[in-house]
Amino acid sequence: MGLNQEMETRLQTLIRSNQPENRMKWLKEWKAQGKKVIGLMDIYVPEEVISAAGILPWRITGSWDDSDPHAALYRPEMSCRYCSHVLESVLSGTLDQLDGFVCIPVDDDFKRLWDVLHYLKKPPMTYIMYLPHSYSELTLGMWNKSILELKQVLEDWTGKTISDDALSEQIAIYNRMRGLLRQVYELRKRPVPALTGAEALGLVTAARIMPREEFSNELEALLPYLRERRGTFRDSSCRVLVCSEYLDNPAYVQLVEDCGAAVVMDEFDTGSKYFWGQVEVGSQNPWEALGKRYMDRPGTSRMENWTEQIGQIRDWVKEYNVRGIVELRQLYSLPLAYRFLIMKKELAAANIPYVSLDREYHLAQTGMLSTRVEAFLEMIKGG
Amino acid sequence: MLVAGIDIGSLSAKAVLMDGEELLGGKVIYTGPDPVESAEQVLRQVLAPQHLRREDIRYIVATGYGRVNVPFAQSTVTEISCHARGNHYHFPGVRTILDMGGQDCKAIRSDENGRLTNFVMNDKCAAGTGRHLERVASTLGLKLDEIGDLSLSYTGEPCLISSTCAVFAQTSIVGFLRAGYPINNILAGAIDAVVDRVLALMDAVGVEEELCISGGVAKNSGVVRRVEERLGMKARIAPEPQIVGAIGAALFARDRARR
Repeated sequence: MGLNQEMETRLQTLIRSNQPENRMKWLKEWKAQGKKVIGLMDIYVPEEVISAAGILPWRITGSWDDSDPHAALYRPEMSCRYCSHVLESVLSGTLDQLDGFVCIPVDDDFKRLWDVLHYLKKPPMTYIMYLPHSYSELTLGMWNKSILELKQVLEDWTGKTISDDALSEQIAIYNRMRGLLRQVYELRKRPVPALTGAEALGLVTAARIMPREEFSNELEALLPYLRERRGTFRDSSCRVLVCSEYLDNPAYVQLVEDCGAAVVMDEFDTGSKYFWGQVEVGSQNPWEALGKRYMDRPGTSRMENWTEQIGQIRDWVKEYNVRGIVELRQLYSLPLAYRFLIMKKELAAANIPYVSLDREYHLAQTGMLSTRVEAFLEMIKGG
Repeated sequence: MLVAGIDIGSLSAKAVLMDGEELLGGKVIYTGPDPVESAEQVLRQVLAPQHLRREDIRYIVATGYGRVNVPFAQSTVTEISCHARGNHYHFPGVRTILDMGGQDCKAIRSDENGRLTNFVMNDKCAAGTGRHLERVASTLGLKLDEIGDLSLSYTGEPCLISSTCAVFAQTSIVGFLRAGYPINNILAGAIDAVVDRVLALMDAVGVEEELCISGGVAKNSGVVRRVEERLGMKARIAPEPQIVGAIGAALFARDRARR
């Protein structure tokens, strides 16, 4: 096997880490060492704190199956589909090895999911953090307090103190991971990006289930190869940015690319927003520096600074030379639906083509989606 | 230069032949279970009267939900772009298009060149589609081509029928039948409900004159009259509204053959 072929195989292995057949590997390995694993569902829970407690923070991907028969007993059909598929995974026993769950109240749907998880599974540890809806000096103070409460909960549960040094060490590990992912995303600015949008999503979702140091070591080893690599696109000239939340199945991004687009940037909580922005280590108290990073980085639609979020999208449109935006809005996920109206107005004012399409959490209705995406691409290409 | 457009819809397969700007012929057949066979059959039927063979065609573009299943097409274009282009062929002043097909409904905006500028599609529910109108006709024991005119000649108030779901609409229709309401009033209510849905779609893209209606449902006078009344503008309808998408595909074929 040539060097490039070997590197490509390693890259594809890393990209496929969050596929159903692979994603339990690191969880099991961590547990085999007698250590704990906590499941997370959003990007606001400060993973560094959990890692500093010697616990693996492991992002929960819901069941990708067509149906959710167990969850349907407890959740209405018209509710966040990610939450339903997470509950399906929990109730079907797929996630029995998790020691606990930590989440934030994204919306009422997440709160009810947490209630049901807590009531039905009674895991050793469940905790729901406070998270403000807006960013100000006052709310930052409340958020920092919430992080310290999480620290206390973890210390009480494990019986071990989380020192400032342990946190600082984890901040360095996470900053390294974020920096490496940022370098990979820089390679997406090229005329022919180093990797496809589907591959990029695979990479970021891998980071969230692996021990972060192990992930970073592998990604760092692959970077020289990535710098030489050209992603395989049907048409690399039609550059689009895709927006979504709770989108963790690369097949959806692949669908957009199969229609003739090159997905050169994403606005995903499962993608760019996970690693954008570093913890500024300096003279600051590491706990406060950590809290600031989680408020400073581009927010998800759950935070109500929508104009800033759209401003970030417009910046990315320029930086990544994007010709149009495809939003794949998950059905019944309300925060993104609320943002839609202002997004439509502001992007139209900026003359940026934009289409917002509904999707299920699991891969479904692909024919309908393809027709809409293709029509949008025909529109921006001018027929 | 001979080109063809083939539109494989959920209910019908359409084919047209064009030579330059001239429309040589068009054909509509029911789509069978095999879209490949439907495509071959409809093309054979449009070629036969012209005494032409498939080899005589320079370029073929396929459109419609079955566009990827036409093995002899050189390329594909979505039905959304094709309806914009096909309506522009008949009516160059068109800016808003309502295409009501067998399984979906589209509100489309286009520019002075017939290029797509905006669109919204509804296909999460059969309400507002040709398939739904077929079911309405069948439930009432009528032929599809009868229900439009009958829905316009009622006395009193139309029956109030759900516009949110095709299944609920059918249930309401059966209920009104059992309660002895006149068929015309039931039909008026059923078609009002369809029009409620399509107007919501049109509102999402904005309506600007000229307005065209295409697709099989454009043959339903009850739908067309209500859309016109509610929007306060006359709708233009191609001589054969079912083949407008195929005409658009043929025009794309002509462009691509010239490249």
